[in-house]
Amino acid sequence: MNSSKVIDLRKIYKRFYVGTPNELEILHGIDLTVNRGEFVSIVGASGSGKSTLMNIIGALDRPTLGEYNLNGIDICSAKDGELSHIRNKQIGFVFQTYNLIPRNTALKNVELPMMYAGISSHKRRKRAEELLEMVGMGDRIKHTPDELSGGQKQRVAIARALANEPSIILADEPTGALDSSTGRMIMDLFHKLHRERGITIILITHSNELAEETGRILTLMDGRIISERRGGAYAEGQHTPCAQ
Amino acid sequence: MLKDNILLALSELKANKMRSLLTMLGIVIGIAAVISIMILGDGMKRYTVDVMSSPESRRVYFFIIQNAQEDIYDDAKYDESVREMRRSDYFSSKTFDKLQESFSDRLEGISLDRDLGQMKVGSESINVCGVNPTALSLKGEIKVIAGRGISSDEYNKGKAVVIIPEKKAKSLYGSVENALGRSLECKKNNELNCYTVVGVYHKEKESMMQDMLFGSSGEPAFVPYANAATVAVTDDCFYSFSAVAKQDTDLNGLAEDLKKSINNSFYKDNDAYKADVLVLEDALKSVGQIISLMKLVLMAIAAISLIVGGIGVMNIMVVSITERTREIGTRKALGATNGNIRTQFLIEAIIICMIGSAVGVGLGLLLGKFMSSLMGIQGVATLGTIAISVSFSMIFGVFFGFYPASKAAKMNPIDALRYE
Repeated sequence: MNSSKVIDLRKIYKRFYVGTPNELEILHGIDLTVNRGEFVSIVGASGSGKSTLMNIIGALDRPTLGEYNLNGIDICSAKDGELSHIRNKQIGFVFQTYNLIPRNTALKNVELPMMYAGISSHKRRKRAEELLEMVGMGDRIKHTPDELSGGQKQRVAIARALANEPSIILADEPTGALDSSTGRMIMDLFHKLHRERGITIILITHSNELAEETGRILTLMDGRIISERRGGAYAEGQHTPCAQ
Repeated sequence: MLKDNILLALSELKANKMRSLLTMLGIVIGIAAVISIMILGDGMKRYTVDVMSSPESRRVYFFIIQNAQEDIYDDAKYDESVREMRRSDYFSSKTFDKLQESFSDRLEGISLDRDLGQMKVGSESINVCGVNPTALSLKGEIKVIAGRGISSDEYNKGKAVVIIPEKKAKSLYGSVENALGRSLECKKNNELNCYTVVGVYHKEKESMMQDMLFGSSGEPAFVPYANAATVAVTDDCFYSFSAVAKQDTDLNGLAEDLKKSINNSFYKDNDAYKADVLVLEDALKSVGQIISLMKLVLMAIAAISLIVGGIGVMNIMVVSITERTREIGTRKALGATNGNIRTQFLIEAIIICMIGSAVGVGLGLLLGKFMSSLMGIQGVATLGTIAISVSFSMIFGVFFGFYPASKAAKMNPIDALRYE
C-alpha cells in the first residue's frame, strides 16, 4: 500500500432505492486518489453528486459498489460503530452551516470530538485552547455560538475539525454562508493550515474561483468526474475577496 | 464521559427552563402523591392499631332487629309489614340492670348516656349530656384539669353536679378556677336545671379519623346519668346501647352470651323483634381492611399520575430530539457512536426524573405530614418507601427515555445533518 495515499476510491457507485422501480444511480464509478498533504477541491453544480460523494468520503455513508480505502482502512466493510470511530479519528468535518452545538461554548465544541475519543478532560481542554488560539479565537473560548459571528463560528468549527489530528479535513462549502471578506479569511486559514501544517484538505464547492486556489481541481458532473486539472493560483494577500 | 453527559443534560435543562419545569411537574406530582398517600395510609393503620387498645375496642353494640333478620345488615329479610315497635319492644334500664348483674365478672359496664340537648345559660348555650362512668370513658380523651370528676356516689344518687369543658368555663366564668363550686343554671323549654360545677375538663381535639369512625361527640357538660334520667324528655326506651367489656375478655364470646341472655329473658315471647349484637372489634378490623383497600386504590391513582408524568417526559424527549436532529447529526459526524447518543438522551431523561422525584419526595413528605396532622393521625414515610419511589422514578426515566433515546441513536447522520 502506498503510504502517501490517504484516500483511495475505486469504481464507486452509489444507488438509492435499490431494488425498487425508483432505483436511482447518483455516482457512476468514481475513481479518486488523494495523497497526504494535498489540497484538493471538488467542484460541481447542484445535483452533480457532490454531496453524495462527500458523504462517502466522510464515512457517513457506504458506497453501493466499489472500494474505499481511507488511510489503509477498508470503509466498505466497516460496521456502524467502526465508522463512528473512523469519522472521529480520521476525518475533520467543516460544514457550510458551521453546525456548532448550540449553548455549548467554543471550548466545549472543540473538545467534543476529543470527548468521543475518550481523551481526559484536562488534556482535551488544553488542546482545545491551543487549537482555538491557532485559528485566532483564543480570546473567545467562553463564548457560545449565538455570541459569535459567522466567520468566528467557522473558525471554531475548523478548530474542532482539527481536534483529533485527522488524516483529512473535509470542508463542504465552508464559505457558502459567509460574506466575501469573511469567506476570504476562512480560505486564508485553510491555506495557512495546509501550508504550515501539511494538513490534507478536500474542499467541496460550487465556486470555480475558490477551487482555482487549490492544488488540484476535480469537476463532477452527473455523477462522474469529468475533468481533473492542476490549480494552485493562490498567493496570500493577492486575492480579492472571494465572490459567493 | 458520564460527567460530561450529566453536565450536558443539566445545561440543556437550564436552556429550556420552562419546559423542563413543566415536564418535571408531572413527576413531582406523581411522586408527591405516592409519598403522601403512603404517609396517610401508614397513619391510618397506626390509628386503627391505637384504637384497638382503647375502651372503644372493647365495645359491643346491641340493637333491635326483626325476628326474621339474620343481622342488622340483612336487608333482604327486612319485612315492611311487620308491626311497628312498641314500648315493650325496646331495651330498657331493666335490661341493663339485669345484664350488669349477671355479667359483672366480664362486663366493665354498660354505656348509658342521655343527651339533654342544648340549653341556655344566660346568653350562652351549652350542650348537656347525662353519662354513666362507662359512657364517659367512650367520650374521647377527657382529662379533668381543675376540681374533680363526678364521684361514684354522685353517679349513683344522681346528684346535680356537672363537669364542664375548659372553653365554657372561661366564657361563662372568666377562668377555669372561677368556675369551681359555681351553680350552672341551664334553661330549656322554660324548665330550669341547676348543677354545681365540680370540675373542668380538657379534651384532646378529636381527630378527623375519630369523626369518621365514631362520629364527633363534641364537648358537652357532663352530668350523672341518673340525674339526667329524672329530667328526661324521652322515655326509658332504647333502640340500641353499647356495653364495654373488661380487658382481656373474649369479645365475641361475651357478645354471644349477652345476646342469648337478653333474647331468652326479654324477647322470648316477642312475636316480631329480637336483640342483635355487633362487636366493634370486628367493625374496626373491617375498617382497617377498608383503609388498606382505600390506600391501594389511592396508590393506584397516584401511580397513574406518575405514569402520566413519565409519558410527559417521553413526549418532551421526543420533541427535544426532533428539535436537536441537526445537533445529533453533527455529533455523529464528529464520531459519536449510537451508544454515545443513546446515553446522552437517557441521562437527560433520568435527570429530569431524578430532580422531579427529589422535589416530589420533599413535597410529598410535607403534604403527607400536613394532611395527617389535619386528620389527627401520625404517619411516617419510611426510608424504604422513599427509596422505592425514587428508584421507581429512575426506572421511569430509563423506561420513558429509552424510546426517544433509541430514536435519536438510530438517526441516519446524513439525514440528521440535512434536517432543517
